[in-house]
Amino acid sequence: MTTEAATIGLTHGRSEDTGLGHRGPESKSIVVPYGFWLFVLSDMVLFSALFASYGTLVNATDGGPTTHQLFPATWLRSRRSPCCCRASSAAWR
Amino acid sequence: MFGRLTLAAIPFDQPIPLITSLVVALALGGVAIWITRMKAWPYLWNEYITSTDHKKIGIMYIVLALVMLVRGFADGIMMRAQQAIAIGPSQGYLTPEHYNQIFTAHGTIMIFFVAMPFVIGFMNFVVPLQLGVRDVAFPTMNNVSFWLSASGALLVNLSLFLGEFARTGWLAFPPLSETQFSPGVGVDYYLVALQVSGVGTVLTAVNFVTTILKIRAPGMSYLRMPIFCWTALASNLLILAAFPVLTVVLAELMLDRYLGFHFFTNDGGGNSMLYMNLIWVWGHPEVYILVLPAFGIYSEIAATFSGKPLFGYRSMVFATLTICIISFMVWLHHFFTMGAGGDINAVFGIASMVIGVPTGVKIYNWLFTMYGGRVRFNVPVYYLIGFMLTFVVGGLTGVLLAIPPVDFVVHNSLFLVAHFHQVIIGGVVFALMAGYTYWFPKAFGFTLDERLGKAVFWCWFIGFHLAFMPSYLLGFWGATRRMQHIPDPSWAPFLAVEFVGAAIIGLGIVLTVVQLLYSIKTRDQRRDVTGDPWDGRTLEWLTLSPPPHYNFAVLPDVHGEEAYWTRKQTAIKMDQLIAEPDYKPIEMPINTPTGVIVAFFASVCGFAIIWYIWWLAILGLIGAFAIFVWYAWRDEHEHIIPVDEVRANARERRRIRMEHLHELSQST
Repeated sequence: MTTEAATIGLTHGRSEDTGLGHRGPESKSIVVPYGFWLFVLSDMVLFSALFASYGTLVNATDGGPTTHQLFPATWLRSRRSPCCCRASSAAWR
Repeated sequence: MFGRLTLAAIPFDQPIPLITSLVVALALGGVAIWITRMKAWPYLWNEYITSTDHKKIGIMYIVLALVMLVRGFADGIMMRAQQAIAIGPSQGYLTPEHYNQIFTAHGTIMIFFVAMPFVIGFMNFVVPLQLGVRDVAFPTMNNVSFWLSASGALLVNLSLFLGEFARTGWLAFPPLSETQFSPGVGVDYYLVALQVSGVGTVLTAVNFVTTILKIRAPGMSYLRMPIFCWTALASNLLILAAFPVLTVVLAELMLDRYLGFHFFTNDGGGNSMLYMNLIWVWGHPEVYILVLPAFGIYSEIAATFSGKPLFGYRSMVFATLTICIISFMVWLHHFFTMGAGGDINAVFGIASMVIGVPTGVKIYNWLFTMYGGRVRFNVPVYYLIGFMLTFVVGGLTGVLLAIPPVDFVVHNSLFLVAHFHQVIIGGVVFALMAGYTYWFPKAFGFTLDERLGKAVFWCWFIGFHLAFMPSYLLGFWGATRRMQHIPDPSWAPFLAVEFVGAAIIGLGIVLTVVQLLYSIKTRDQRRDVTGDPWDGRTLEWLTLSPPPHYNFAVLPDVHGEEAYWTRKQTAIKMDQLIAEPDYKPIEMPINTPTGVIVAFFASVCGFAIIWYIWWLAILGLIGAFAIFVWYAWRDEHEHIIPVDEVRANARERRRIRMEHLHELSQST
């Protein structure tokens, strides 16, 4: 962004404070992350719908084994601890 | 090599889709030849197809919507004709399979590819102008959004010529939409087209929420924004929160159909009630995504043509946001009969009735805006009054349907069909036609013919009532929706009246085209020289018609609730414009073919997924991704409009405005 462009309006730096509660368009550095986080917000909603599906269907296995039977808690824990150790040691390094 | 795509996909045995496809192909070819002969391809490419200008993109959305309106209407009148004929012993001219495709296509097209692009088109065209800025937050993404919507529309229309469309109704309820009962490509066309256009819609929402919250002219605080901007904000927040759910539920149905999952199947632990809940968690807010901007359009029209500020501006904002929130708490009223239990039905029934309160607030605000005003009876005001008369009745039948016991009686009957057509035609379509008349001069620099405009209004108004009022009675008498054949001969006269009503609406659509052509032909007599043909109150009327690419030479300073009206009145009183500002060069985004190329690859990929042509699907994905990468590494982002050009244009505008001002000052 050029410096002269920074003074001329849309998404290019703020215009003067008019004292009217709003100073004009925000700069690109505000607008772009704002849009990005809004998109992430829509992603959160997307995941909430996935979790709702999971919650509804978690035990709907048509007589087959459930998640807990396939992957018992002890099995998960035994797999998880080394991962956690590795992650925390990586964090220390 | 070509998956399940064979020559058998072309419906040689069905003359109606085949002939229609040929006619459409001939029409498209004719238009292409005409454009070539006019040597207009470079103009179209530079000014529209690759444009990042929000106004041009808005116009493209509305053209898409109008074209698809013709398709959706053709489906509608075919259904009405079938129902008027196929009574008692007669079977009519449409087979059940074909008829089912038609009502599915009618609903899908009218909501996703007529109402949505029309509404988004207005938001594109109007919101940045009303906020006093030069473009939306993400202009290139805006172009991509449009082309993805167009890509979805293309896929739906392709089903006419290749294969079939879904026979499931416009929301593709499982288990009917599962492979077991719908093995063909119809549901896949539906799913893929909506997924592609859905991506575009979510990007639009990101774009507009960011624009409205972050990019406004100096002094344009939240409570100074025109109501249309508020309703656009509410509508886009709803898109942001509702469309991801649609994406999920359609993706789950795709997993069922393509990979043998059991989300919604009858067997294997599937649960179709999950689909009902998820689809309506999106589906009910969708109604408000459409109708809130419509309310915004009525608000602008009521204030402008009554020559008064909008009555109860703050209550209007409050009502809009209340509707925005409550619209997420009522989805279960679409399936009271599913058996969620009396208490849950009661909660959702009451919530549904509560929505009537903020809506009522709005109706009173419009009435009191008109009361005591000098109402000018231009075409948009006809729609405004027609809307208030029609929509209130539609709303009341909605309150009736919100009572679970009543809903049990008329569920899935023609009573329901009459109700939602009354709120969507009376609420949304009337607003779109009003907005089309209202903002047309801003877009093209001349007004539309008033006499023909009024004729179009009367066609819609009378046609609508004839076409749907009898349905309330038929619904009470037990006529269910989506019937290919009518068993009870005593319903015949009512269905005949409904057909006549649909034909009158058809006449209205023809007259809309006539109005457009006639207005173009006589445009020199109806030029909007000043840029303010309706004595407007909001900032879009500050600039010339059509506005320059950058909208405003200098971003306007906003004082008070009615930015432009305050400014105009001060100028008339002082008999002079505000002092000439210090012009500066303006930086604007450059054109980009990204959108149209992405949409091309999205269409290819979508088509390949529908027909199981996996190598082509992968190719399409790679192509779309490659164009994104290419775009991300671009060197040139914007171009500078030199200060001399800005100054020259602005001075010309000031000259025109000064002349107009002197006339006004002398007349008062």
